[in-house]
Amino acid sequence: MATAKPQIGIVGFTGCAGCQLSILDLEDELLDLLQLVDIIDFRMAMTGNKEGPYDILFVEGSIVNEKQEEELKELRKKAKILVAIGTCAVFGGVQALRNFMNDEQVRVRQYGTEGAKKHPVIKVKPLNQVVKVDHYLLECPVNKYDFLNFVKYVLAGGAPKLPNIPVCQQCKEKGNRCIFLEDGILCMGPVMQAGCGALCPSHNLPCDGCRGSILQAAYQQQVDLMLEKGASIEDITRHLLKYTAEDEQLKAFLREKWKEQGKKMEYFIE
Amino acid sequence: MYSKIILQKDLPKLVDELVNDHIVVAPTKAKNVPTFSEVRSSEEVEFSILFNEKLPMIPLKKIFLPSQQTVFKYSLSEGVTESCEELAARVAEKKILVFGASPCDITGVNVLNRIFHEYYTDALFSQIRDRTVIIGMNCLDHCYENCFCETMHSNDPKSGYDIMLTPISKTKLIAVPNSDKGKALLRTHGEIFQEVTTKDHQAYLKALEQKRLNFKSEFPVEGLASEIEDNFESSVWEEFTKKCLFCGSCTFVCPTCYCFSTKDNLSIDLKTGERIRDWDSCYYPEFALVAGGHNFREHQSQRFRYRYLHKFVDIPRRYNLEGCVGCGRCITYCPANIDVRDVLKMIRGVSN
Ligand code: SF4
Ligand code: SF4
Ligand code: SF4
Ligand code: SF4
Repeated sequence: MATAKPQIGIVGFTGCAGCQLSILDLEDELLDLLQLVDIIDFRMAMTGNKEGPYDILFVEGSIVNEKQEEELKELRKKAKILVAIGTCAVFGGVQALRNFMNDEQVRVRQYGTEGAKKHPVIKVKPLNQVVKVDHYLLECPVNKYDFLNFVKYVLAGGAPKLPNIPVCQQCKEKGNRCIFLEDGILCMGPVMQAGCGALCPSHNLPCDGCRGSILQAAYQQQVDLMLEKGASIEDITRHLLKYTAEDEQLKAFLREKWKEQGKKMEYFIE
Repeated sequence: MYSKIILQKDLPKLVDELVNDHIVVAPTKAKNVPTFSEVRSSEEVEFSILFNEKLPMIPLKKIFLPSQQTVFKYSLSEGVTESCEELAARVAEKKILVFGASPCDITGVNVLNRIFHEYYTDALFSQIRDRTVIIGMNCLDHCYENCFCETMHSNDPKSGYDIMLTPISKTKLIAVPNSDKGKALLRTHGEIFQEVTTKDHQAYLKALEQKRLNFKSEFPVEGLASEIEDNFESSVWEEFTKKCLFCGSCTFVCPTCYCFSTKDNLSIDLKTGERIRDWDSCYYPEFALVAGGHNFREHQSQRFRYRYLHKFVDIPRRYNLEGCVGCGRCITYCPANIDVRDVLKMIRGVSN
């Protein structure tokens, strides 16, 4: 039966389900949202789910095994628009730090010598390493207002554009004290995407860049300054890749930087 | 004589009277950062900032050009439903009173005021400026090592404020009105003020003489605009680009930076919305990106240079004003320790 309202799905792979919770947290707007769309698949929130076809499918989490790869490919076939939501789906998330550890070591540590033989592991992948992704919604967990805006703009016939401005803009608008400058805390605000309202720096915590870096970010200057402040390349890399290990732009830059220091980044995590 | 004397210990009393019929904006401390904010009583005011730190991190511009501001409202079927002018007319209510603006911040607001009126009157800026009374707090010496207001001729504004308070002793200040509004304010709150004695007047003149002696220019700004232009291709820009993080902090803390971008906020019924302006910085990669995909300043070094071109070439030539007031905030709050004075000196080939 044809219906005028777009059919929406919200599904999750490997992640903490926090993105799906964030969407549920849109308490004030959820009823209005349901005037605009039909949510046909949202296992975390309801029963009677339908596996597509979807006009828009929102996917949380990263891909960590072959079974998930197959499932995602199937879902892609059923979705007109596929949107990666949250850091894990977009950049791999915290678990993608595993990609900087030796596979063999990971398996043995996790499953024991015997178990390791039975459980193959693949590199942790953001969605776009498996299927075509049409749009990306950032943050860990996904910013619920970005989600809402996205739905509004797609229904109105467009898509919101990423502002591509660093976290420092919102940090200054908030009138925060700069912990990078004043306390030497390794804050990545200058190179990371704003949109979170400078959440971490507003609580005296460094920005670890869960929204990923901006285009043309001044990585070189940022990293040189942090080295000058006495941080090690290992520490800096851990901060920069904590959430966004599969941010290609960032990874490529860091590899060069390690080379400059006469070191190899490949398996820098023990 | 229109001028009056106020005892330093009576400043809180004055603020407590002013809050009755004004939205009073004064220096406060929020999250350990000196800032300007609305106060409801003198208890919220950090008077020490007036006499010591002097400069809140974000300058007075935040009153006249808030970081987030609705510029018009629209409906998808009818177009603009409430224009900038209509919004401005609707918000103009109570008078705003700024208490304790430094001379350089007053000069900064004067620069913005000119820019927001020259080619087009920005109704929102204008209505806020028009209903604001400014009480300044004079400086008799450089307030800190990053201040170079004398170099930029900003510490003795001739207009743009209604009363200037100048300390003439450890306990007394002279309140000199600079407009009819200022004179009226001194009359209305006459009880708090005292008449100026001959001795007070002499102390005032001595303070001004001291001010003249204390302030020193660090380098000449004469001819600076053409020198920068002549050094458009200088390697100095590249050198500083290697340090700059392009975080934009320097532009947000600058009293004369006024750039904003706009974004739309569409309502959930998809029928109406509002356009919002939000502080922007020429240090950001897409600042000069236009429709069609061309970016006028594609490279970091072009963006680094542009701020200097705008402040020290374009604003002076276009408005006959200094585009920088020498407050030093961009130096103080730069995580990469870039000093605008060093850049200018190196461009001119003058070593430190
Ligand atoms: S605390 Fe971090 S985000 Fe805030 S201004 Fe400093 S570097 Fe930027
Ligand atoms: S504050 Fe410093 S590092 Fe940041 S953009 Fe300005 S000059 Fe560059
Ligand atoms: S450029 Fe720097 S010193 Fe000049 S007015 Fe702006 S913040 Fe102050
Ligand atoms: S162009 Fe740059 S320097 Fe000029 S006002 Fe805008 S942000 Fe400030």
